[in-house]
Amino acid sequence: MSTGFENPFHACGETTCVREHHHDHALETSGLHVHYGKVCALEDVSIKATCGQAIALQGPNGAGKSTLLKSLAGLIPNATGTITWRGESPKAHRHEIAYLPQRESVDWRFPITVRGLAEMGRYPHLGWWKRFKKKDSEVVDQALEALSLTDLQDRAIGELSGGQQQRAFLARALAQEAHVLLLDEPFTGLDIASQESLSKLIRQLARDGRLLLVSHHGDLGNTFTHAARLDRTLVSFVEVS
Amino acid sequence: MNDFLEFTFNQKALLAATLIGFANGYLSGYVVLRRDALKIGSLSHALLPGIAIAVLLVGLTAASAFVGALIAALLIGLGSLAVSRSARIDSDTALAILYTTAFSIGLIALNFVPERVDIEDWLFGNILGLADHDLWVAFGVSAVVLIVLTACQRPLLLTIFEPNVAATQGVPVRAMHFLLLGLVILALVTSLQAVGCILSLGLLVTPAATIYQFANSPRALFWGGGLLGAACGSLAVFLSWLFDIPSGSAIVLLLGACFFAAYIFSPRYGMLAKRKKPHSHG
Repeated sequence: MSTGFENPFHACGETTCVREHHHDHALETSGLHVHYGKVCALEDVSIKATCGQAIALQGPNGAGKSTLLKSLAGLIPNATGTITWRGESPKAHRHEIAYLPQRESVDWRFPITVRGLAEMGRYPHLGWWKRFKKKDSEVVDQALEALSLTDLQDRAIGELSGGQQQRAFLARALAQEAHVLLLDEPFTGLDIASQESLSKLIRQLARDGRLLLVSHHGDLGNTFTHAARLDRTLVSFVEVS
Repeated sequence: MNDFLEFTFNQKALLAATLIGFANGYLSGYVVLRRDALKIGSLSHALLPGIAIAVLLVGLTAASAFVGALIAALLIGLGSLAVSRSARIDSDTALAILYTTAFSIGLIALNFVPERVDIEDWLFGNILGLADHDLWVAFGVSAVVLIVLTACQRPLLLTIFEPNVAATQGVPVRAMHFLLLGLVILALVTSLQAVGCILSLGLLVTPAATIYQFANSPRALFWGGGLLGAACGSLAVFLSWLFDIPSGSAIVLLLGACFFAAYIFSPRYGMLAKRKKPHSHG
């Protein structure tokens, strides 16, 4: 697969306007608690993350990494505490937050092409009925180009390599013009070359002004700007590079 | 062909098969994408007791048949969940037990229906026996199914593909599941007249499964499934008249033949293509 991500963001940066404006935008949790029945999954997690950061969420299995990502995405209704994005409820800015689930939860036989997947990123902007306009097609074109997927745009997602599949989902997030990307175990199942490509991509997306929170088991390498260690509660949150 | 169209019942059957074939074929795209064909099969069997008991209680009308079918389908669907949660069996096993039990109740209940309806009509359909109001019901149901599915295409697709992501985008995921279930039941009740409750699953699965052998877009599944369902439905009605065979079986058999042809000869995903070029990741 292609590993070249040397300068893939020139177009998308202009489209989303994240490059210059949003470094002060913050995603904050305060006293976040999540219980699954009697099991405590997250306890009193308070964290502040801003655009431009690539944060690795680390910790043992069951530490609450996926739960935190899902809470931030608004997928856990019984989460207590507060979550704000740009000082408001994340629901007020749904299209600015993209959640990418674990690979195992994706139906790779779903008959959709790479372009079709990226076009789904426009749904939050278009709602249920609005037609695709020229601007939407251009945003999709730019997202695909930014992730070196233009040549693969007519390929079914099930026919891609693991690395290409991750890029296809990231293309959807870019087409959505998301500022916050919540990635659940994106490195799992990727070969070394694809892991390195994804690594560069995460770093570049953060440099581009987006905020990335990534649950991650392996070494930090030079992928991330920050590391948050979880063990049901937030153990540490440090800058790593 | 002129001989065939001389008979009013043939004209009605042709129109009904086209309408029902299209609506079911279009909906089959969603059933195939959701990968719950067998659950729908269980539901189709569960409709029988619902309709039979409704007919016993209030007589046979389109509304009583639908409400009876809806209640039966909900009872069986929710019952299987309740049983699987409280017993040591999974929901599929519970569903299998519940729907076969319900089907038996339906067969017994039919014996007590005063308006003598041939059991075979319920099991295998009788498209040649359609009245004018049946055609209007088929038309109405097809219109409702198509309009709702088209209007809700984006949230439904998102819900089926990634329910979690759909929820983050504000899609009412649970409502979408119920909406789809309601439309499936509506389509099943209508197709009962054409192919009966045993074969109705074929109309709700095979068209899109056939198109799936060629297409990589949900829209192609929906429209392709609809067109194939309509084409096979109308052609089968003609063939059933020509060869004097049951029309419901002819519809499902023709669809099955299309599927197997696609399964073998599809240039991209067919068995022959796979043999020539082993599948590889790019």
